[in-house]
Amino acid sequence: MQLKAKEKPVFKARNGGIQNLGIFIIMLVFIVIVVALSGSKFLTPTNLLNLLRSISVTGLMAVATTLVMITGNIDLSLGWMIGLAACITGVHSDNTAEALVLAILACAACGAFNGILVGVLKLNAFITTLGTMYAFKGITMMYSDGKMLTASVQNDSLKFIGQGNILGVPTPIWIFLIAGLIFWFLLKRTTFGNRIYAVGANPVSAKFSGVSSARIIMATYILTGIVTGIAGVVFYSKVMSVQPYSGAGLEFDVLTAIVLGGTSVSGGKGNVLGTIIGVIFVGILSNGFTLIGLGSNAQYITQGVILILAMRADVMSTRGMKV
Amino acid sequence: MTENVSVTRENTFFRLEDITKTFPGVKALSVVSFDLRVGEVHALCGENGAGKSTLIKVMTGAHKKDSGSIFIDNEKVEFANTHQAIEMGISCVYQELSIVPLLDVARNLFIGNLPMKGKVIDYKKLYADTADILKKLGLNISPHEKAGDLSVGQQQMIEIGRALTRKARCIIMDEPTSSLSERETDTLFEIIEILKAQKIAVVYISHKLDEVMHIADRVTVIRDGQHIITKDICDITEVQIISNMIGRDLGNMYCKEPVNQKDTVLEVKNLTKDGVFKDISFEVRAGEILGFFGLVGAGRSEIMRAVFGADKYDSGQVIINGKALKPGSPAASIASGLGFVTEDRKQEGLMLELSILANMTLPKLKDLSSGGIIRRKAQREITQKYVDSIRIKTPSMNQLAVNLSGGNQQKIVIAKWLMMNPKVLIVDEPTRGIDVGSKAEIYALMNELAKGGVAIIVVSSEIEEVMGLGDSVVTIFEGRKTARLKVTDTLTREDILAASIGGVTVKCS
Amino acid sequence: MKNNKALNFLKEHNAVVIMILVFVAAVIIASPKFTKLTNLFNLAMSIGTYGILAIGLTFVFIVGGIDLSIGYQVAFCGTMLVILTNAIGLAPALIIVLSIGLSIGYLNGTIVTRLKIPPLIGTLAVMTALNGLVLLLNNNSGNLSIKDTIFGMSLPEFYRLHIFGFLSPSIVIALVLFVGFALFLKYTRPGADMYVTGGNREAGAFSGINNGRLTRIAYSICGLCSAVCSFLLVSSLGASTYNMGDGLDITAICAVVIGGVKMQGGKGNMAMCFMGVVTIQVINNAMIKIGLHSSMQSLITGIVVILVLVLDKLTSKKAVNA
Repeated sequence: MQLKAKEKPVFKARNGGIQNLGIFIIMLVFIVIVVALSGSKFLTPTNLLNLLRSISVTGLMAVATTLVMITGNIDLSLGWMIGLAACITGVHSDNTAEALVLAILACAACGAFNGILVGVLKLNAFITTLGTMYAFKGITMMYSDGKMLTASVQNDSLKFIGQGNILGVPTPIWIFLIAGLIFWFLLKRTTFGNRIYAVGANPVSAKFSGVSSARIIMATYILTGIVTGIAGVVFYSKVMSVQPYSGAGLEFDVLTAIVLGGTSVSGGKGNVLGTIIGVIFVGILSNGFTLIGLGSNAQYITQGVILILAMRADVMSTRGMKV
Repeated sequence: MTENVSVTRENTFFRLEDITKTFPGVKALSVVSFDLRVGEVHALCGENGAGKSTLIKVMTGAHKKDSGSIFIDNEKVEFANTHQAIEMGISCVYQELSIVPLLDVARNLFIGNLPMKGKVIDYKKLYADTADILKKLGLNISPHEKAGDLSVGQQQMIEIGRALTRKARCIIMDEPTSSLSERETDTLFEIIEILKAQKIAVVYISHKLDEVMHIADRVTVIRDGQHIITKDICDITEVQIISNMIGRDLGNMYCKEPVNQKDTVLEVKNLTKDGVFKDISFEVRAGEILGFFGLVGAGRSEIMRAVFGADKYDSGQVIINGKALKPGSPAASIASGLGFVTEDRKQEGLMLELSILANMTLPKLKDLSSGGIIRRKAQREITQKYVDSIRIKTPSMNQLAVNLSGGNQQKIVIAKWLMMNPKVLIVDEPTRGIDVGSKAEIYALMNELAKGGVAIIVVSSEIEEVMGLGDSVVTIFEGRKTARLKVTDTLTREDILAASIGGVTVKCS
Repeated sequence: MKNNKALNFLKEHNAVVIMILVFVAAVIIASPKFTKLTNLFNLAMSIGTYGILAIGLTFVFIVGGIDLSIGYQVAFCGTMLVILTNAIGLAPALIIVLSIGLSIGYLNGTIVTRLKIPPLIGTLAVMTALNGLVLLLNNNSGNLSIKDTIFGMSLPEFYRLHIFGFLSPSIVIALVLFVGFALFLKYTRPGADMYVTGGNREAGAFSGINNGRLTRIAYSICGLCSAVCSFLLVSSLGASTYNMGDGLDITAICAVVIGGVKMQGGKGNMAMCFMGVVTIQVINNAMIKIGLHSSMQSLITGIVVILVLVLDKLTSKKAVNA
């Protein structure tokens, strides 16, 4: 059921998808180069499994955040939201249910906070979530005392979430795919999804048709919060330990994945399938770089360049930032 | 019409000959010629999509022609860009104004053209020259006022002033009165006279033929990218212009039929919003068409927005079919049977990047879904039904709204509400910027709706429209209702205008 | 729709400043450390240093853009400054670094105007690339010490020099730049036209204003300012660190927006920039003097950003009645 990057999916141009064949080709080219350079190390089962596990965390956040971006907004506080969730999991690593519930609740609250500021007060999403990022950073650091959190007790159910396999496929991937399926369905087939596109395309017209952009935007941020909470639990349980700052910067990966997947930053267009492709790409890039021996520096630089190239190829459909 | 004896053939200073311009798939202009004489007002008429805007763009250098020639003072010229055209004296005042709201009037007048003393801006000269131009145009505005604080009419004057600072020889005005009140329109006409006296020609593009007959010296009609006719205004009638524009005779556009009106559906009681409107009360019955007339800025749209719930109000009540309506909630209004076709379809009525299907079915989604999941077949079927019955010109319902003409876009908005089977439909300026053919279709639609028992409120700044469509007319002046007049054969324009200018006590009939 | 002009003026400029003054009064009462002359001098120095960064950002805001990469511009220029100085001496290194800053700014401008990429994404991408470079040069952590002297003293000494008792190099440089750019904005053609580029791009294009060029100039000025700021920061530390750029972008954005410069473009000037910088630096200084823990500082920074945004929203003209 997993999508291999070499499969060429079919997209309907109407609701987004990869807007421009150009982006897709650029991605393919990069993947081919990276895979070729990393040689045989890439295709080993161990490596592929690792790759899949790390993709899941970013992927979880990305499919949910796609909804936020379709409404024309953005969420930069993800990195510290997931940090908070992971730390909460660490503190409650003895009780899986407790950890899950608390992590999800905390992040949902963060999401609701974002939602109120951006959806109800109609503040600029970019700067606002930059601000809430700082706020969440403060909270996370205070909560964890800035220290690394390691599990002291054996907890197999928690371990299973991050490190287990179901039918030979890592659990995190299942979680990611199920989430992907749910959000894909939400966007495409439900009234909620249609309203998200409407709010993204023109919130004023949507309002005249009875759609409250405040509610829709709130919902997208809260959903992102909930999913990030789950992602935080997965994040922690991958190695059963976490540093509070480990999540910082993930929002950039999420943003890159979503934009590469064809979601327009000005809102109104985009879909989950494209995001998943974007996530896979970002994951392969990161994995490949590590295998080649280049550090995160090189990856940063390359990601930056790719983003520019992708945006250039996408420029026709971008009507201008709402920021 | 004004007398200007010196406007003769010899004074032609700007000439376009045999212009052809093709876009992928569309021949926008086909061997079109147009000429302009010093100090004349030359009207340009044509339906939407006839090629007027393309012609203007060629005239102003925004588009390059594929073939043909442009002459200024009998010398062939080529415009590399709009700036060059401006330098050669061809200026344009567009419908979408190019005002910088945060800057003051003086800096708006002299955008890109600030007076300099060496390398430094000469502010003294800037404000002095601005004051001069404002005086010349008879405008009572300070050069230091922020352009964003001015009314639309005043902003338009600023744009005309800007053309003057560029020593324009010709000013093209594209639908200049679409957002102006009657008073501001009169001011505009006075300014056009001033321009003529200064030997500045005006190309006047407008759907409002009564204005054209009033102000123009000559009129040119374009249809389907081709030049149809150019005549002196004295040698042609309004009816002839229309039939040249659409290529057929239209007959009576409004075709109003008497409808058996039933019970009161909508009751508005003492609606008040501080500083905007006060004590607005009126009723509409099923099958009745109520006109809502007033000068621009009187508050009509604001009243309707409050009734619909797009804005909140301070006191009063809105009652539909006997039940009080929850204020400030469009969703509640829609659920109670209200529909609202807004003034500005691009900003408020449509989601341009989405498809016709998505646009039309947005309010109806709840009915088209079970448990939150959309029944796509039902959605497609009902959309197709309306696309067919209203005759929306499109290859498919998946076409993006932005790709349709103004008339068809408006039809989408109307269809969206028809789908909801409203009990009361409010339409605000339903035919603004729409070609004559589509106008007639929309009027027919509204009459049919009324026959079917829908109560309709038509907010309009066109007296003819309100008199032609409405059973009664409510006039609004400065946020207050001044009269409700029954439309009969004896009711005249002047009656309505007098009532709308205010100071009159409420007349009920 | 009548506007109460006096109320608007108050809202636009002084509400925030009043709020800050009240806050400052509270701090002065609570902590005597704040009003000590040495502290005030430190405050002035930081206003100078960070003010220069804010100047650059103000230009970008005026033309309607945004630059997220300034933090890493500073880090990168600072790192390069140290490396080059240790190799070829301070003066030539400084010239090269200033050119680097200018070029990065120009690159940003080109990405936005020629490649037509939304500034948010474009500068984000450049920021990431710079991030990578900085980590690379610093070997992923740590700092590099600068080994040269200026006017016969070490750089940290130079930074803290008392000129005429109350001026320091950072203050002097900042003043020169503030005044110089203020004159540029008011009295030169490109300066005045920048407001049109930001206020209504199409209007500018119709009137022959070269929006692209002006935008590139604005971003280049921003890059130059980042370079100058990096020089001052390196001076104060005597070294460059891999994280010297952290948080600078948010500080600058806050300062500029608090001062009254609008993010949507077309409005702002050096006076507003200055007021905003003073406000933010006072808050920062006060937080440290009170002894707040760094995580608390993060929290408060976040809250201030949000407050600033709410205020900016409340004082902006409503575009459409939505």
